[in-house]
Amino acid sequence: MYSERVKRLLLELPNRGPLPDADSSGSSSNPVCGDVVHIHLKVRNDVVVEARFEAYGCPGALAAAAGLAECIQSMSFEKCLAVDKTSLLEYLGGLPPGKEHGCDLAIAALRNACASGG
Amino acid sequence: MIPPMHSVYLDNNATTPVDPSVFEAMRPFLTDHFGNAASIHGFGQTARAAVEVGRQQVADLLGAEASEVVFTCGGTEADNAALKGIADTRDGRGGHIVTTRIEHPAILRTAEALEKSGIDVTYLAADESGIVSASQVEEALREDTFLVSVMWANNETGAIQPLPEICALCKERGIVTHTDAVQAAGKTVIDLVRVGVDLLSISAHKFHGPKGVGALYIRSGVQFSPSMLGGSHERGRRGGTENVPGIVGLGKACELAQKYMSDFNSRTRDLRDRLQARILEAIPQARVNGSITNRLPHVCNISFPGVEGESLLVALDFQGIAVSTGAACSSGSVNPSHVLTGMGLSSERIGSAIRFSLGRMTVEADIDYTLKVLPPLVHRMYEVSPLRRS
Repeated sequence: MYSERVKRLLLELPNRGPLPDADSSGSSSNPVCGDVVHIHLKVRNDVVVEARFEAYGCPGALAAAAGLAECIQSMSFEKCLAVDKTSLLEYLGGLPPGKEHGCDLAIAALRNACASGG
Repeated sequence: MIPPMHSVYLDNNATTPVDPSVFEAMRPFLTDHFGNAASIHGFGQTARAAVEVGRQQVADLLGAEASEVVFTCGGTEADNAALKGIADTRDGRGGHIVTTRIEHPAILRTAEALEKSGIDVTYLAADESGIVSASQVEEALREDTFLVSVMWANNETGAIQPLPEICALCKERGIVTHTDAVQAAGKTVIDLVRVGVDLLSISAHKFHGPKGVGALYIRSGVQFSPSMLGGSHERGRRGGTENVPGIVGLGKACELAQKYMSDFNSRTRDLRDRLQARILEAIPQARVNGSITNRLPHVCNISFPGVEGESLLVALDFQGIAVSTGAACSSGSVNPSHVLTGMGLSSERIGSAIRFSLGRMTVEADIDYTLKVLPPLVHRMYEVSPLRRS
């Protein structure tokens, strides 16, 4: 089942939408299921001052993207790069079996964003 | 965020709550009246009498003779028994069956199994409204066609198939007809005199009866070979001790469905139409899937292109609203609905499809609450979707 945090993230979708003056953006998609995640970052002195996401996909992908955008606010680039599937799943309070692949997409999008802005 | 104070069940095509009167009717047969309906003693005869009352109640709902009703463990068994039961009378002579791509898996998997035994099967595609025409069936018929199986109404779209026409043209050619009426029975009038179908499957839990019991109607005179072998139960047409409490529940559910049919039709049609109209009004991107004129009164299937259906389903569930979806994603692969695929809809439309199926217990407040919760959720998902923004 879904955690209370995932419920909140999926219902409210905080930090959603494009970020017109983003310093860097990264994307990742799964061509098989069609899920896609974009992460947009505004950065000052190597620290994320604002993160937003766009996503299309299953509840796991949406929750992972929303969770990631939420947990990296005020995080340094270095720490962003250290976020992995285990830590994101921990932040989300887990995802049901078959839905964890959403974390891979979100993390890949973040790393692409970091790479494009680094 | 709206707190999940409500519990709204709009997935009545999946299953329905057991009517309290059905439960009360069944109760004595789960306790005191436990006899085997095949036994000669008093315990058995009490059970036998109850089974025969149930048989008559099913027959009354269908406009059939009681002797034409065979009890099964549900719709899937009834569908299996129908196709195999007619095919087996061929004694290995092969032949040809016509069915559709929008059937329930109980029909599709059985037809595929019959193909392996040397029978040819034609699977007809539905048009975009979810309907297979009688002329399509006619064109598919061959000299050796011995069975046509077309569902009464589709489980995902509610689209009603032109069975009277299909049955009439098959009758002229001496071809046996079967229909999976699992979604239609108890919700729309089944008039076997008008429709003229030879075999028909129903399932109790789709209309407020218990799970695990259904029936197969076999028109008198139709040759049928039983696939469930055992004792001579059900006049040799289905071996196995009768599920007495289940049959009592099925019978009571049939009686209640007949009693409430008119009210169910008008009330759920009004509620469904209001739900659909308000959704289309609030969400311009929304599209109705399947026929809007020729469908069951309690179903609507709506796509929200650009929004992923399962995410919307789960978000609605978090708010206490139960619906179903046209596709499911698991471990990065998607299993799209074979029905919506069979109608030729785009993957975007299939992936965003939500089925709302109302029931006898659905009330105005359920629709009001759904209309309060759904549009903001969809709009938020559009705001986050890279595919479509409102």
